[in-house]
Amino acid sequence: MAAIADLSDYVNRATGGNSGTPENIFWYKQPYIAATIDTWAAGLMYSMWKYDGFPGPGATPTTVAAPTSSTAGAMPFTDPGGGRQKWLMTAGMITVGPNAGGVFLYDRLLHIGSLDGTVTTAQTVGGSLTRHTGGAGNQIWIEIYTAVGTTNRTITASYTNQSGTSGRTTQAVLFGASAGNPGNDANLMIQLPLQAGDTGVQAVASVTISATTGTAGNFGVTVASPIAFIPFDDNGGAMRNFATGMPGLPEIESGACIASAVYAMTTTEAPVYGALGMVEA
Amino acid sequence: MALVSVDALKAMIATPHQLSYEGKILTAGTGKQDKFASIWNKQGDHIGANPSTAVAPTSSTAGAWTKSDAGSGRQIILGGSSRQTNNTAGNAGFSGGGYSRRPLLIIDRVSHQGGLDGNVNTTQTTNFPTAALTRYTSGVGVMAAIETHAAIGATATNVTISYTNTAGTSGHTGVLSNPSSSLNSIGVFIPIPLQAGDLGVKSVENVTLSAATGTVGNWGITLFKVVGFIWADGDGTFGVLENAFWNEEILDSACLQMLEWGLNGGSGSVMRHLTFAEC
Repeated sequence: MAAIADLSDYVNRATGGNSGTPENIFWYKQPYIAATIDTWAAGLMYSMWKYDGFPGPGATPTTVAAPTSSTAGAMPFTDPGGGRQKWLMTAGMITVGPNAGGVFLYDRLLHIGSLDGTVTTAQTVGGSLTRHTGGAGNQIWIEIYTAVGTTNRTITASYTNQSGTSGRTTQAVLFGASAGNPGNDANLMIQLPLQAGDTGVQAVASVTISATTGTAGNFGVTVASPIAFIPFDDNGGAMRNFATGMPGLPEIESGACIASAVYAMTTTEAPVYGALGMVEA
Repeated sequence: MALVSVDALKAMIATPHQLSYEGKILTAGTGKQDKFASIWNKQGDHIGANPSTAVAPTSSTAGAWTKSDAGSGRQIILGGSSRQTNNTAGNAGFSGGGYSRRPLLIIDRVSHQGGLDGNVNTTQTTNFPTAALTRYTSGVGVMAAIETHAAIGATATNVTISYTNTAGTSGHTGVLSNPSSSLNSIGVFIPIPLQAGDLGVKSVENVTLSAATGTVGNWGITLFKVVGFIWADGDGTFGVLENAFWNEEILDSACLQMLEWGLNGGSGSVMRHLTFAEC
């Protein structure tokens, strides 16, 4: 492991020198799942984990698991060699503007499905992280795989924070309802804000709905380590150059399950095409 | 050999190893809005022919972007520093148009075929399988796209391909869901999603439309590898550090072309230039 010394070293590594091993990924996702369109509501985040595209779609998780770069649905990349780290240099994307507001790019650390929208007792999550195990910066998201009910409820999670303190509780957020606030649709991603003072997550013990939403559906919990947020302009273009802007180069950990979610600005669904450029140091 | 410093990068930009231009006349088509359009066979520089039988095009195929091969032990990378003059004042002869000032793709066209019928909903094997890959032969990162050479009908249809994946497993299927009449404009170029777990395509064996579109037209399957994803800002210029793929190696026999992103269905003239560096 070595830091990138300066811009010259960066240029050198990015063109294959000093064991930079540059790697580029081009990917795309269409708002279809098994050729059926995924309808959007404006102002909500939608998981693209199961979307048709390249690479092929991910599966609905069942029991808790820690996905990796070799899990179907993950963006493919080569782990860094020789004790080096992998860094994201650039991310460029295009969509149909202004339908999508941006893309959340993250390392999918842990996921579980088969949770029930009618159960009002704590539903176990469990499992163990294999990357970003210290928890700093990790986030908890609810991911709906099959629509839950139309009755608006709240949901919380019990988790262990970045300091190893268990029994922490996320702030309650709305869950369920037929439209908005935040809706009940399949593929919605709903972030659970952490308890005051917390900055990360080492583990999630359980989630609890305040009352039944009216329909079991199928939802789950995903623990994510953010890599980048790529905002689109009104015409649907986006480019992040991490060498010339804060917060610097995000690390892509070995084995990372790189996944994405899209923020819907309208009810008109849109494909997303993306390019990632990486380098080792 | 890599660029060793920022100064070397500056020198490359100031005196690029190769500079290549392309001007194209782009035709209108509402179906091109909000998707990529191939300019392979458009009027202008580097006019490609509509493919029929399956072939693996190279840098010497008509339609490929002009470049020289790398010297011994060296490689060509995309240097960026490109520009479009679409709608830009002060560039006489290039005006109008509904094409992108946004990211555009540079692809290596590794295999293509055509002669498919837009008006049948049975499996088509004409001019299949696609020609064996001569570059990126593992298939990793190689994608399949539908490319419309002559307008097919406006009836909505899905496109299903049967393909061989990177592990050499045949019979995998990819479905392009297309509920609108977005395939019926000449030049439309849309990648086809792959089966779960697949990371690329070695060959395509057949295609099936879910519905006849009403017009035979002429369309085909193109296998390609993205080698450049370039950002164009508001005035149509973009620089080397803004290019996501500025360090991608361009193989000697690469059949390069650009894909434009249609902001609307308008026509227009565009001019691009690429710089290539040899290092």
